[in-house]
Amino acid sequence: MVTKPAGDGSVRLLALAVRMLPPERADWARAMRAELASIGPQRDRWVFIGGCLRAIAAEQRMLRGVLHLLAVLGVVVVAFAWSAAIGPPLTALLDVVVVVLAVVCWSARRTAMLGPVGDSAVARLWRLVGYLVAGAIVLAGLAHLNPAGEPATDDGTAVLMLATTVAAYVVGLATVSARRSAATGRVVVTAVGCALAATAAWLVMVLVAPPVPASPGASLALIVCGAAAAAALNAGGADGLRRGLLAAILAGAIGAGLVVILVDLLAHLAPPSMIPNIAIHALTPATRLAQSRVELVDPYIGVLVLGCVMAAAMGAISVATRRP
Amino acid sequence: MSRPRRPSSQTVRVLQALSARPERWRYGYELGQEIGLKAGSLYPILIRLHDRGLLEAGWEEDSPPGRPPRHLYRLTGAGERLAGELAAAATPDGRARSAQVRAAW
Repeated sequence: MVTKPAGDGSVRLLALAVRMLPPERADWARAMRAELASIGPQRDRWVFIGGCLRAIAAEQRMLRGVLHLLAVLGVVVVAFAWSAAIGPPLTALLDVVVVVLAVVCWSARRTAMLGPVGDSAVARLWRLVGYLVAGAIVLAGLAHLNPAGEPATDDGTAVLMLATTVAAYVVGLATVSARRSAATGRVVVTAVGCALAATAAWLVMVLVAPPVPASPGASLALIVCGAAAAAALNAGGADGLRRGLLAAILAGAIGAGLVVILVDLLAHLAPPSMIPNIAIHALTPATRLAQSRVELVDPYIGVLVLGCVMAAAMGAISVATRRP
Repeated sequence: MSRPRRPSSQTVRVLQALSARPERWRYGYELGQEIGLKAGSLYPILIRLHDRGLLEAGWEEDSPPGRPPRHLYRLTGAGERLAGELAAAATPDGRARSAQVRAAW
């Protein structure tokens, strides 16, 4: 038997190809490489590699792996090109968003950090959301590669901010619900329950004593209460600190997101009696109401930013406290 | 209700080759050469048989220096039984048992 050197092209090709196999097939990847090392004639080696490539493709994951890599690379290239065109203030933010998205999407398929994530409908749906966010960034980037003026830049900034918000939540929720996350099903359920309860309490308060508060103080207080309740419900046991922390931050992030969504819906759909008068008084009543509806959301942008920060922190904490 | 699939002729060849001397460990390239299957056909079959508990896998213990140990295969008890049933079903009086073989597969 002839053992080919590690630098042999066929060895390198097979080593690259077997990386496309899912982690649970690691033994088979090693088996193919070991078999190749024992085959001498060059022609037989390439015939064997051709067969191995077919076997790897038969696992129906190689194509997905390649497409996945191309998608991530495409997003990174387009976003970086766009960020170079829109100037320094947004460049760093956009680059961070894209890099984090790319790292999370990629690592979710490996055993190293978060994954492998499941093949269930929920996992697939969640990955789809991640791809949609990445796609939105690409589209915004393509549309603004050559800024035609201030309006185009403003539109691009709005899309960027929205994409950043959604990306923070996608990354945070993906990491906290990963297989190796310290957050158990109980943590997730209680945290979501507390966030819903806090949001419902705020909504009841608004319905009972309208209008919608012009400042976010009450909503922030209820979000904090929800987070504290989630932490308390998960604080027991040997792993209570990690679970309590994850539950609190998950409840806070979800609560903040829900409150902002509710405010936006109320600003658009609620009857005039629920809209606070926050526009300048020189306007006609109808114009003042319309202006108040528009401006009602502004004070709650801080809540959304807080939710984004919590979601991003949740991602970092989930990785830091993940199970072995 | 879907009808259980009958093993492919290639799978039957693999099972027959492995059941000829069930106690012996075989490695993939040698097995493929013996029954005329390339890696692209052989490995998916071996993986499927292993996933279904019909094939046992291990690693070569005394590989020569400079060459990594190879993956070795042999049938489990269930694999041997299936191979036996397939062989019996191939005979004229064994047709009636083919449904049982499909169910086992």
